[in-house]
Amino acid sequence: MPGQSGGEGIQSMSVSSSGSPGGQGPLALAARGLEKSYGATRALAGLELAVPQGVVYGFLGPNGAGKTTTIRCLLGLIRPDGGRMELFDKPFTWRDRQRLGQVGALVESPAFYPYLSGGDNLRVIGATGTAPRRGRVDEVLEMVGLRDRSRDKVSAYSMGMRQRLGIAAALLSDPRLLVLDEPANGLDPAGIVSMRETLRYLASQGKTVFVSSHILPEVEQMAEVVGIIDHGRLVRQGRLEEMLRETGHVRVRLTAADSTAGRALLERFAGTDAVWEAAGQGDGDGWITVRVEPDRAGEVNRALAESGIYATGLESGSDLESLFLSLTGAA
Amino acid sequence: MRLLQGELLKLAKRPATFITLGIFMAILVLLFLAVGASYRTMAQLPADQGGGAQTEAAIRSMLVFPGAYAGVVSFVASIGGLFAIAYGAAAAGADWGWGMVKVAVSRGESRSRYIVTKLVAVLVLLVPASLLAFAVGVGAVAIAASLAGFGLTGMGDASTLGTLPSLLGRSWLALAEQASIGFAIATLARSQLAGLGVGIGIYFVESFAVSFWPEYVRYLPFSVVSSLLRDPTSSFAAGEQVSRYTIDQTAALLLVVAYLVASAVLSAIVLERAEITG
Repeated sequence: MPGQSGGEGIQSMSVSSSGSPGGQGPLALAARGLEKSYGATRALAGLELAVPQGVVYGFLGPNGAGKTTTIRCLLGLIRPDGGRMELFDKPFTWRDRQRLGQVGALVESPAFYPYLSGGDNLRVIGATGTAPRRGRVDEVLEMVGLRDRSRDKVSAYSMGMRQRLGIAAALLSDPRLLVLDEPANGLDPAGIVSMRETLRYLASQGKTVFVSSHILPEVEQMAEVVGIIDHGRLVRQGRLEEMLRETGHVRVRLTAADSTAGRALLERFAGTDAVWEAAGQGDGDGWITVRVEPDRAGEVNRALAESGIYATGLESGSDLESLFLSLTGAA
Repeated sequence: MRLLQGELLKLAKRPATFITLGIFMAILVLLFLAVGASYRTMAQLPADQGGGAQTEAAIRSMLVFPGAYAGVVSFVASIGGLFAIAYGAAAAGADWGWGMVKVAVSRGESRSRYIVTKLVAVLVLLVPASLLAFAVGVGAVAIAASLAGFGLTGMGDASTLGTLPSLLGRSWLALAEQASIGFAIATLARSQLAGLGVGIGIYFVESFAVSFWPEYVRYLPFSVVSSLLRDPTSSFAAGEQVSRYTIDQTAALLLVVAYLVASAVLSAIVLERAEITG
């Protein structure tokens, strides 16, 4: 399966000039030194991306990092100021719009005609770009669980239903690459689970799913490969499993009185760069994160106790949120 | 063709289509009925109070067939022009507001083809709309003529009926040109409201400016419509005063087509170059 071969060998921060990160397998999407500014604001500052075919790729970054700008460039909505893009290993420019027939997208909030039914919206959307095959509208409505509501006007849809209809619209032309910007917005828990299963299923069928999201636990459950950007640059890219393995941590909860001394001790224990506090703790108890292997939690606790500092809580593990916060400096 | 069908489906199911046409036809009916109902009173008033022979002649030319046909067409194309500007702006501007331009472009649709097809759909829809408005207008004039005590004998005048297709064709073209201007402004401004406001603003500025600089303004998009619809056989069409405000009908036809095409080309260029961020 392309997903399995394409995902192998992805290495953090390494994007070769040909093929996927690590030089193996075909790419669905690539950005090479992508630049874009809005007036004095630099949205993309030499962005590098390599999205292997057949995987769910989580595209992460804090607000204003350049995620939506990247997606707009990749979909030909805006012109990059510099750099190159590739779609299925071939150069892609603003002028190659017909190749977007291989791409289905949901950019920002889903857009529909409120006075038309869900089915009619898909029909008029299907009238643009690559023609969907006969019966495809009903097929995608079934896939997102809206078949029974297809005759209702979109103005009567809930936010979650609109989101599902947006995903249906993206799937309309049976694309090889699906680009979804915050697809879980407005979905209830059951809807999120269903969407996750749908996206995983599509990836298992050899399709590539590029998901930009703020919901890190969701991406963690869904994505095989992630790319994290900040200030318009890629700060980390690779297989999620490997990245999490490298970025284990222990989190210690301390009282406000012990916080300063505890932090100093932990910095001596693990190094200054390996310790950070969660933002906005106020005067109460707060969490300090120490980047060490999760199985060293006992050592951390013992070091604190030997100095007369007793943790009120202790956690260990690896999660995307900690990785994200440490890489983007958002902590 | 698939794209045009999609655009027609959108417009045909859009409430704004029926609301715009409904309001326009209601105004048309009320206007003619008011004229018909007030005819007897107006005719009895002295000239210094708005009555007199001149007023009576004007009302007669509006309500008595077969001349009334040209009057209805003229009303459809002039008052209807304002509604056409609004509708053209609504068709182009709403797509920006609802984010549908982004959807079409990200599906790989040609930007020029998308915007030009959208305009063509508006122009296609103006055919039944202008015919329906004309039919309703003729019905309203017939009722108004009865209220005023005029006969309807001229309604079946064969020679006038023979000129109707050409008259209606020119009326559609006038509406199409005005709709395309509203459409182009809304595309340029990416806003339905801007297209509507600016389009109608230009319409009134032109109507005002023609009194001061008729020799220039008569070539402008909304004034040229009057020349296109002018009936050369009418008694109003003669005279030096009228020729100051109008241009030759063939030249008017060419100018109207030129403005329509220019609006379509401008819309296409604007969308081709647009950075779609909304």
